[in-house]
Amino acid sequence: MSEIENSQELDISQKLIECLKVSVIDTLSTMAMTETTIINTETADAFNLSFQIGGLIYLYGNHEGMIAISGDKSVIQFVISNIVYNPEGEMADDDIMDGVSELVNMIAGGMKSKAGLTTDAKLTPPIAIVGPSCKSQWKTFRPTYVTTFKTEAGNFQVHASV
Amino acid sequence: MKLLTVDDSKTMRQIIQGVGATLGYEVLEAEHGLKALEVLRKSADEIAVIMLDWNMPGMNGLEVLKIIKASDDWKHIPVMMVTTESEKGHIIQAVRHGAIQYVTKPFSPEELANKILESLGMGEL
Ligand SMILES: [Mg+2]
Repeated sequence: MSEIENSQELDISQKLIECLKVSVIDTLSTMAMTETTIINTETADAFNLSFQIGGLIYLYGNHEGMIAISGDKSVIQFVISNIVYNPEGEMADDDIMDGVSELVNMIAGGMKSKAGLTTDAKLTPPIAIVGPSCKSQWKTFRPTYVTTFKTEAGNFQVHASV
Repeated sequence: MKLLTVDDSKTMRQIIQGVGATLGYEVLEAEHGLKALEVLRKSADEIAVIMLDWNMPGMNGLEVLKIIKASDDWKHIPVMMVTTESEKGHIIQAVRHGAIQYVTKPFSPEELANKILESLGMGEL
């Protein structure tokens, strides 16, 4: 890859990361009516997640990458239960999995449209993981950007390598 | 009259249930295209608006839309696409095949409610 191509790739990548952050905040404010703020974004050299609840979605076609949302059950459940107007009830694992799938689908879809990606960039159906303590890894040469978001129920993270 | 939501996500169907309830409508559910056709065969007379997701296992929303609009019994029912697909090409395709509204996720409950009312030929909330 030439240096120019390389820097264009970086530009697209930075743009996608910024659009993703806005998409997370938008999604939570419109769908969950929850205010969310960014604590920080850090760069990691591997796409490694450690969490109780995770949702992952793969971007493929003319632009490739992985996007994931992860956090403790209490935080992810708080977000999902606000989305389905059920702020009090304890949720079944199946409902949390469905919710986190839809959540990662919406934030990645929002990123795509804010960044103006064409139909040639597609998203796979999302993958949801629920457990008391999970780790997952995706092999990539690209850096991973890890953004920590704050809600009134605690923090969650969004990983992106795009 | 009732609304029909066709979406593989239970979360999304629950959201639409909530919005339908606010408007005073019962919401029928289908988790995929084939189920939607089954519901239509049984209850088309009672359905005022259909809300279709785009990305679902099996038939996608556009394929379901084409079947609905090709049927003499169902083609009069207004169909709204409710989807994360915000690409212009998708919107044009859906409108060309007869969708009356195109709502992209994320949306606020008010936005969806207003789009449903518009599809029913009623004013805003
Ligand atoms: Mg879907």
